[in-house]
Amino acid sequence: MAIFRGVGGSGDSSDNSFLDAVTAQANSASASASAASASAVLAQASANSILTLTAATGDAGTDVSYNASTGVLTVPKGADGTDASVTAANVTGVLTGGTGISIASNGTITNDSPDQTVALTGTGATTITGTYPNFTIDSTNTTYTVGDGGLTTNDFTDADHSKLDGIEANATADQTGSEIKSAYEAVADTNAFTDAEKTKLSGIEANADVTDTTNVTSAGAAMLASSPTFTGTITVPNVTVSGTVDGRDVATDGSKLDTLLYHRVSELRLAGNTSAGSYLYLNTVDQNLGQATNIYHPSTPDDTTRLVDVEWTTYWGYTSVQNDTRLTLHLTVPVGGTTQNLGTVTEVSQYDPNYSSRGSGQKWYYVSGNVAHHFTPFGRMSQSSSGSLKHTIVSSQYDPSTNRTYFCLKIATANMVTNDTAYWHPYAWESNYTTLTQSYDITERYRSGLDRNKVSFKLPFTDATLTFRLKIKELASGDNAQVADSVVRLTSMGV
Amino acid sequence: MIVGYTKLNSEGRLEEVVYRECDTTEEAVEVAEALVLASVDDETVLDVLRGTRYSETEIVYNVIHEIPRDDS
Repeated sequence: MAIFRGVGGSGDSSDNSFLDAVTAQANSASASASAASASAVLAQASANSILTLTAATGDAGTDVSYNASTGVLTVPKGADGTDASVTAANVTGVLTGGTGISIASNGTITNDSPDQTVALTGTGATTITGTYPNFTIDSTNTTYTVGDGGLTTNDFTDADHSKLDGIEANATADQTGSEIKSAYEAVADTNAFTDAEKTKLSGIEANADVTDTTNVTSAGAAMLASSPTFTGTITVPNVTVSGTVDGRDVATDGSKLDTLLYHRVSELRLAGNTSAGSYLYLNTVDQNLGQATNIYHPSTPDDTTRLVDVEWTTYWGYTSVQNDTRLTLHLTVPVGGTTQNLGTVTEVSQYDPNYSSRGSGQKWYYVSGNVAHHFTPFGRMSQSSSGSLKHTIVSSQYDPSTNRTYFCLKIATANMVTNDTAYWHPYAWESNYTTLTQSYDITERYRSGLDRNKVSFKLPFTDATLTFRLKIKELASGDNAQVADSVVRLTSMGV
Repeated sequence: MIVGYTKLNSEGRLEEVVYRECDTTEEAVEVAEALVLASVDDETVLDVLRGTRYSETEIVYNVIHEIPRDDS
């Protein structure tokens, strides 16, 4: 390996001589190289990369320049006296490749799109003329094929296109009759003539006639023209009569019927006749007057006044003292009894000549309207809706001239006063199934023989079934009486 | 409210005896039912009654509490 000393270095003059010789050779070589190809010079430089050229003089710089006209390669010294190396990057960094040409960092220049061979050939009536890059293509063919695989002479117009657009997807023209029938009958309100309807029509006899007497009769009806006799039930809606029915104005008659009071009377025979052995011997313990224990006053369509009239025969045995009996009605309080509000009361003056009291603790009042049908010995009056005070009805009447109901009360504890509200409870505010009583005493003295006795009870105003018992007894152990042939008459009356 | 009962007096006649005076109907009902139970075996008590006093001397009995006996 040869080592060269640069300018300013140490060494003897023979060294400079040698350098000068080398420089001369290099210049010679450069000159000769210029005659050869530039690539050959570059190749040599690359192959001799151990060669380091150092500028001795001149301005500082970084770029290496080459003067093609003089063939001089100038390498400037470093800016601060440092060495400036010649590298491939320094060379290639300032170069740009054209289309299809690339320059690698190591200086390799590559044609990325080498030239392609283009061959153009005309066929038939088509000819191609010209050279790269300008060609002329000319065709003289004006012949077209008509029919399959070719063109058609039929016009494809806008109207034809519109028709095709109007055809739904998957439209077919090959539906069967069954498919068409099913599709048609499946659509609502098409008035399809279905198989079921055909079956119905098939069931109608030829020349069917609804006015045919035989047919009508067989159907359970009757022809009016043939004096029909109906069997079964005929249901008709409300009937409006513009004339009369059997000569009667049914509307007028109906109004009269509406005002008729409900009135039912029934008679119960409680015990046998007075033949021997039919008597009931009395004592001081209550016994049933008849041979049935419970007696029923039936329910009514609406609230009614209930009367119980009792008759019986008493055979009095002779006694030297008073001989007396007591008949008691035992009424069972039914379910459903309610308090009646009779309105506001007004006290009647004690000096009113029409209404007088016969005992202390009694007082007259009146309320508006007719409420007398409510009053019975079983009920009680109170100025309290809960019946905390229970006054007993002593007397009452309805005065139509004033439309007032007057009543006299036997007062318990505290008087009712004017403007109090009068409450009436038909069962004296007693609980259901409690037994209420009312009695009549029948007395005779110093006689014997038969008497027919009659007493009446007024039961509460109600539509319920009332259950009661009739009990009879002697009031003293020395009494001597027998009873028989008892009858009860039950009356229900509307108001 | 009055709870009473009937019995035969010394002359053999029925008389009504006041058993107890009560402040409320509910109390009177309880007293009457207790008297009924106590009188089942007491043949001198014939009926248990319940009613209202209207004066010092006047009582109206309107409810009877039956004593459960075979001959009633």
